[in-house]
Amino acid sequence: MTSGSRRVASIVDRVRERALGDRSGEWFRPEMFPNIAHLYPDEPLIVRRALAFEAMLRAMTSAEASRTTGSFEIRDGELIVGVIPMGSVGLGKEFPRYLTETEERVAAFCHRDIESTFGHNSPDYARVLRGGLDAIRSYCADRLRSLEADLEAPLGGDGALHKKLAFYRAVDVCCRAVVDYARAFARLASEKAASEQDPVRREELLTISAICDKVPANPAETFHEALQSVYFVHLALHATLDMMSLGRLDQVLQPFLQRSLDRGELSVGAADELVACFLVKCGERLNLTSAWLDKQDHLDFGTSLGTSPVFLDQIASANNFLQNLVLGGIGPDGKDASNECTKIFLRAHQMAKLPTPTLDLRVHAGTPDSVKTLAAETLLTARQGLPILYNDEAIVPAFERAGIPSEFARDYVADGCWEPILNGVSDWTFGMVNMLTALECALNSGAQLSNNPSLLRGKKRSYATPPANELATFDDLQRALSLQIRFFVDQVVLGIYEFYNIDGSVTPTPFFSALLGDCLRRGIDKTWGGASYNLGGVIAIAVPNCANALLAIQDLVYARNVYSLPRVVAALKRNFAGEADMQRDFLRSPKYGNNDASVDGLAKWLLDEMDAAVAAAAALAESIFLTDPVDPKERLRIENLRNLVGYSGSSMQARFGQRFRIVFTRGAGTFGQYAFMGLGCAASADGRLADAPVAPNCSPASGTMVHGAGAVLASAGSLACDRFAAGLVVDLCLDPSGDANYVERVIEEVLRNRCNIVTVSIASREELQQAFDLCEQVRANTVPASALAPYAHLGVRVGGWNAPFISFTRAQQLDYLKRI
Amino acid sequence: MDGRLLTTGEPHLEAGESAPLVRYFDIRWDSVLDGPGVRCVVHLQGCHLACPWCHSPHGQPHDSPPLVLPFEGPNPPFLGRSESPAALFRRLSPQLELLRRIGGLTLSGGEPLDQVEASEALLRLCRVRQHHTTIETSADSSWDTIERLAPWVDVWLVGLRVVPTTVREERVPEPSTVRRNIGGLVRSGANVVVRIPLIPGYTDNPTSLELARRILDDEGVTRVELLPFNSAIGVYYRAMARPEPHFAPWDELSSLERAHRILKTSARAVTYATVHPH
Repeated sequence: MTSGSRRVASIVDRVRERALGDRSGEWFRPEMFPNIAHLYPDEPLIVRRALAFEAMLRAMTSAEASRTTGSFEIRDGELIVGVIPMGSVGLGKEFPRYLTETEERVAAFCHRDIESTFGHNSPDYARVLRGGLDAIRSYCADRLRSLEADLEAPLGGDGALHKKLAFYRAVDVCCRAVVDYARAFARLASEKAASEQDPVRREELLTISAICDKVPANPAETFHEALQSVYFVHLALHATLDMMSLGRLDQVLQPFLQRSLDRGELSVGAADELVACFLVKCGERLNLTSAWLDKQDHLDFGTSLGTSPVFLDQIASANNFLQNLVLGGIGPDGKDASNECTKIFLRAHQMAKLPTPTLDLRVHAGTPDSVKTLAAETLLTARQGLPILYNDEAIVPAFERAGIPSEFARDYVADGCWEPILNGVSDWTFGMVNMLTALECALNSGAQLSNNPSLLRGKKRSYATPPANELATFDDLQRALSLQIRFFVDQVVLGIYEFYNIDGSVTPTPFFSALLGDCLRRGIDKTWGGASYNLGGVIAIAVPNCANALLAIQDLVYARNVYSLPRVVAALKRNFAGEADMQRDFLRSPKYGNNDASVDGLAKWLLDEMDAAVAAAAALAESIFLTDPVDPKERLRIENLRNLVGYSGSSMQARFGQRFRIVFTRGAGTFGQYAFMGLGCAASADGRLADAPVAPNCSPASGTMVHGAGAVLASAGSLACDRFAAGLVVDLCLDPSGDANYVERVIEEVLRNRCNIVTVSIASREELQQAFDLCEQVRANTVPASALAPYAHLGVRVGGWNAPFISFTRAQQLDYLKRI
Repeated sequence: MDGRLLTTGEPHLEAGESAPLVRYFDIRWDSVLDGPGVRCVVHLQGCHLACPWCHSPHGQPHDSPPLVLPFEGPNPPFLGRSESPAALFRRLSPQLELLRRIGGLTLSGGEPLDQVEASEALLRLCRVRQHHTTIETSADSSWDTIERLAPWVDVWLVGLRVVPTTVREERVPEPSTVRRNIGGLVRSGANVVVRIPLIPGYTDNPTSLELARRILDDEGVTRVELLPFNSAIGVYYRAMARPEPHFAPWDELSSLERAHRILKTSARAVTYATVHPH
């Protein structure tokens, strides 16, 4: 082991140790912050948000708070400094209150609170490194001066002007706070250097101090400065409710690497080590055991992530930080853009071996063999299921098909769990449609199946399509299902417009907006429509289960008349009680993911229907929201429709600018919530029991992969993946019987089959079974959590991110074991 | 090059359609123990022998027997299937594509030579698509059978099980037949790996090993794989309600060392595959 990897190994060991213990003491508490709403009730909301941002960063460098939070520390051996406070999608975050009581109460009506800040995006890091935050502050100061001059003009001072003033003030406050934070660490480093005995470490601390003094206020010059600058901005976002991704860091950092190498400032090996230190810093918030998670539950009422109401599997999401780091792929010019940094990040991940941040490797026909080989080695060596594979050959055309210009389509990044978005120029949100729910409603006249007799048919969810006994042919069933899909897609699409309507009223994000596209130039927060592109994803859940069920029905009900459809519906309602033979027949029916055209074709049909439904819903929504009709009668009609969706006032283009429209993208997946998403779904005709998990993402339902990984890729590739700009994800779980060559072949088959996104987790069934058995003992409190340490390194794919197997919920662990 | 693209009108596929059905009881999709690289292994149903140490007794009968197996959940275990070689090839194709250049197809069993026509058809389909082929066999058959398949086989994994004469009353491979076939293959330039399972009470004794060495020397075998014994073979016997075989206690390491010492020569590589890979 080199001294570089020794350094990283010892830092990671400490992270793991902390992660196996009770981390509840490290959380910030409300009494550690001022209440911004109380102190500044008359300031505009966005300014209060910025003041809260500043208060958070100040609290993070408070020596007193740090006694418990550990947030103002430089730990042994660290080369990148700064501490992101505890917080995650599943556990929530602590932050100074900036909403007035009135605002809180009204926002609660639509399930919004400060924690609704969506994150799920990726800033323009090149801007940070090129100009530094001081340049942004100067720009804000200039704009404020000229806007204030307008205020004093005879007719001056309209609402838009005040909003811009507030925006620039807010941006300035945030940038100053980040610079102050960095300088606090500069002082800390210099103090530590003064008392440091080891001369090598003293030099390191002095270098760190100089760097923290310089960036992110100023442009970066060296590779180390660039990494630290990126990290400070990333930290500031994550610490202030905005869980953001990291963009294409290999592209952003390559010029800095080249300069430092040319000047002899560092070697490639030293660069590997630095990047490993960076990766570890992004991974420090891990909880490797669920033993103390309920003491760390900081989530407010249904407000997480701003898509409301959202019910999360909190254990599953405890280690979800939405940090996606994209490597490789084609550049805006269409040529391969992988570089030395691409490889450095992969090697650094082999040193760090943590399940976060998520590394996303974009691949295409021209990806160099050396990158594919290194990616395969990385998957096998680090055993974290990283990098995950993004196929440019499907995703770039999918964006273009959605109307995005080629240069932006080619530059895509990923956010959140895995969803592709544009690089530093787009806002994004999404909604989901559960295909099993749609099927339930198609089988049961628009109602979900329920045994509660007072509901008669069941829980009424949607249109009353014809009942089972009137669906005489499979075509009839497909027609009913088509209508149901349209119903649920309409809800999602209209909901996405609603989201854009209210997002700015509770959770503006001035700091992030300053780093996104044209927001800064326009003086408009991204939640007020400031982004250049607004993406809305419609993501289908349980496509494999639904396809499997449809085939079973097509064959056993319509083709062979073994069961009538009403009898099937009754059996599903009763969870197959008294119908064991039927369930067995359904289980034996061919399943998606095995290269069987009969069932894969039905999966494609479902996605075709969703595709068409999205197009129709988008057209409907545009006709209602985007423009104001001139004709007064038409205007009244449109206003009436807007009211129905809780929208009033002028059109979105009048509010957000002429260019505003929402570009809808399509996807298929479940993130890590597949166990959760099965709850409340009745038994299904794929043989699945009520409340059982659905298929993870668009992978074969667990336990149904029977023709090898090659067939899974062939099935996924048959779905016309160049339509899914929001991602169609397949998770492969492979026993490590192969070597790097096998994994390389997987990468090549992803390309040849034109799949969309594929994750590869490698873990032997034997060792996971051992880990599971030990987890059972920990859950029963017969064994301490520290006993799990030998399995802490096993990172596998949850569905939306990677996490250590030992941190999964029991349901997810059982489900995973079925898959390999 | 996609399994879905195979249509009638392709001569090799038509041959595959007219050959008898293939009977098989298992497919393993990514084995590293059944030939070079990572392999898709089809276990053919049926074996004319009845070796007392057999670890796949359910592979012996002509047709897949019903099995009483403990299994979790409602998913029934796969017990076996009969289909045309062309249909089987379509089933295997995507995985064979994935294993291109790093592995290929292995025919195992049971005894693949007992379904020579179906095996030939399947191997020819693989050859047309340039998939690497391996066959695992007892080589207890006529030379004609071996010769018929030889053009389509890239690697022969031939079991050599020399046992004391007291055992030879049971249906075990006939050594003179096996050695003739091994010799024939070696002299014809085929790629032959002889696999010797070390079974306590049967093959794992100095006399048997010395006899094996003479056979290897006489027939010019240059590559041998030792297969350590897997004692966890009772489950299928119980599932078939057959009495389980019992074996003497043994020590893996000393057994392997002794076999290696006896069989290794300067002209011959002797390696061993572990039962439980890391």
